[in-house]
Amino acid sequence: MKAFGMKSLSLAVLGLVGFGMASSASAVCPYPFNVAGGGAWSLQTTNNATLAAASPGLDASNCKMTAYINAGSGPLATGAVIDTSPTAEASYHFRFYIDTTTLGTMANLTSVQVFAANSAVNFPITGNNQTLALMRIGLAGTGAATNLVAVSACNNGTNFRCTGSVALSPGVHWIEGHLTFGNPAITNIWVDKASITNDTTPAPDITLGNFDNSEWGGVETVALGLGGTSPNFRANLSGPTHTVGFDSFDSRRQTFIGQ
Amino acid sequence: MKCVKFAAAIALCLGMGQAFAQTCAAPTALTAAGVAGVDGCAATNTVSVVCSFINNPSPDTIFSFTLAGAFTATTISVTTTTGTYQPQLILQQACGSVDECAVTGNAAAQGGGTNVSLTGLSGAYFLVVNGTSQSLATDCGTFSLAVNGSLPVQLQKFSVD
Repeated sequence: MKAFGMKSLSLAVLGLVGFGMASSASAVCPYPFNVAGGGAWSLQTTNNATLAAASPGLDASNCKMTAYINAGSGPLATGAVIDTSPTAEASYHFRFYIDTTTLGTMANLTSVQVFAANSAVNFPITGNNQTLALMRIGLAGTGAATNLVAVSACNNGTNFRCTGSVALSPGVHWIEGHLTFGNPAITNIWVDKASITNDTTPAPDITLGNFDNSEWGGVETVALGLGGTSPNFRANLSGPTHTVGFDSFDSRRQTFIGQ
Repeated sequence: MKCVKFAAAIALCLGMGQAFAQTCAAPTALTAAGVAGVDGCAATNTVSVVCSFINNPSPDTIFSFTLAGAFTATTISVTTTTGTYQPQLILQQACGSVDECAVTGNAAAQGGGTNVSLTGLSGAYFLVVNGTSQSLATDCGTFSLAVNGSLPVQLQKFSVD
């Protein structure tokens, strides 16, 4: 990976990528976010979704990324920024801020992906549950609450997924995670923890421990934004009135990040 | 005895309310006649996660059909006679996929019904019937499926005895 120094503005991306300032000195909230556009992320992608920069940010910062799924879009709708700088990372720490206020309490069968850490290996070799995603984070409604859901690739011989969830109230939260590659592997997720000392202190809000993801590979690509929507999400939570904010992304190999 | 079995006659051959094959490997062919009185609780949980992030602990009853050629059906609807059951429908081409989530439907409340649209679809599909609850493995019950038009007739089995 690139050096892990935090960029100070916008959707600050530590080391890897970021929603960094664009080259234009006059831009208050620079856009686009990709390197070619003057930002810090490797790529940004939109397919029936809308990305923008907006002010203020979510972390006492000046700017944030906003994303929404366009009304009437299909299941491939995606609006995200992508970091391709990781290289088979066997230990990956990340932290980002997210504002889910406009999504409210999501209904049943309503879900959306907000983060993914992908490997370069598609596994299992056959079947209907092949995936490159070493770990994904999504939001899923139950009708009574919205859950933050972590889904890790795991060689369990059945659906090749290990999952865990925690309730997430509508609003601004910071999500921190630590995932590892190998056997045994772990995925730990913390919500709104100001300081994290190690994988057990404070106790993770989601912990997936001692599973086998060695058939995949280390983290190669990271995506932050909206995608993987369910039909109910697209039907009821699309359009600019359901804009989600992202800010202050940070990633590291070994150390925890905190608020 | 000669026995020619077509999908259109499957329901009659099996009889309503009897045991159905319920897995991705052995789904029940769904015809325009629909099915009635299916005991969803007799199935097993084979699609433990739907739409990537939604836990599904309830039993999954699997049906299959192919949309090709001429057909008039535009929706498949589920109703239940079990007051505590909140039906959910997931239409998939990759049966059992935790990620494929293009067409879904779920009842708004226990005892309610829902449907999925077939508009714009073509090819072979699996219909997963399970429960909406993300925590209760007991979200199941007796259900019926209705098709609002014709489906292509599929040759399921042919034998001359």
